[in-house]
Amino acid sequence: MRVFISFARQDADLAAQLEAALRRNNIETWSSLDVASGEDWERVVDHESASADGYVFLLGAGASANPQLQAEWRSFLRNDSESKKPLIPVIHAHGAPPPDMPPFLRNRRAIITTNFDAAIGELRDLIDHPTETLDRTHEQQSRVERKRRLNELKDYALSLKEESAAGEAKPQ
Amino acid sequence: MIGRPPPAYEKSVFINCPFDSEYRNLMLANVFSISAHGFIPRSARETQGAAEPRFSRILATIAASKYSIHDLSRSTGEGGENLARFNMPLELGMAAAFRFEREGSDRPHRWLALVPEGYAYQRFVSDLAGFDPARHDSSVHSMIREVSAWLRTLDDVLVPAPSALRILQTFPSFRDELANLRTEALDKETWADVLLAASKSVPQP
Repeated sequence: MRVFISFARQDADLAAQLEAALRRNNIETWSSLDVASGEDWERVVDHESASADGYVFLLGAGASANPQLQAEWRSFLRNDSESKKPLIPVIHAHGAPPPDMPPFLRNRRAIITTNFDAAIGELRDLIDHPTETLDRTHEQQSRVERKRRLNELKDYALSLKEESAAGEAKPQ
Repeated sequence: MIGRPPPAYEKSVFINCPFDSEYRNLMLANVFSISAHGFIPRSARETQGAAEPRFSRILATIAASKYSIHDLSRSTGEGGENLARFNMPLELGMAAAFRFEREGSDRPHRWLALVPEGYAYQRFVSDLAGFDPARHDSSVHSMIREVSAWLRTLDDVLVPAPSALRILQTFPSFRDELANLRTEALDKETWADVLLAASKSVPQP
């Protein structure tokens, strides 16, 4: 089992703690903390994200989407073309998930903790059972939203068609 | 002009790409991926035939879109005179200006540049270094993979979205749907038909 840990630069200390907790519990990890000086960051991230069995997103108090973090997100999203690998948000906090959760994690169950060692059991369980990472309460809401958006696309297409037909019918 | 309501700014993704027959499948892959993620693909083609100059129409459509995708893979020398197409970089410049100008406002703009695989783009458009352009190899699957990976990071994306593989697998149904609409219209195809076919064939997650 090998997990890719993604984190914002300002959460590097927390990421090191999480990485250490996972390794203590025999879970192999990789994060950008492991990039050696002089290595091609883009190539390494692409390789590591392709070979990971799951992705853990550490969201600390300072989490924010800088361009490098977004590039990292795109790397594993493109390397998981079947969307089958577990995506697990780990929020280092006492309370609710932060409002700036990455969009693709909105339908995922988050682990909220301040003690990484205590959360390893739950984390391992989610890595072993990727479908369990999905938050089922989100499903009904997303089905309704999907239908609404498809209708908007269809209505827009039909209005363009009408407009085009009216333009053609106009006397020259 | 009929007073059609414009699509919501937050759901509009402007597509800047070639529209010739050689590129057609990639353009359709782009449209289909955007639609599958709950967005509305926008293009200068939607106002084709309007009296307004093309440049103004493009500018207005980008301005009305929160997101844009620019494929620079064909901005290289072509034909006997080895001419490059400059429309695509020009339109990317417009989007980049919007992003810069609107940073921090309530109408931000985000764009994605697509370039050919490899690092050749660093020679013909070196200013893109640092903007993490997405690379594709002119195949439908690489286009869907790259565009989908970017769309999933956008604030207004529909979650969950179908996987890139699922979008690729249903792409032929979209093409068939579009072919039917074209036949019904006696071989005439409009941008509206492309969107209508997409709305009928996007897969479930």
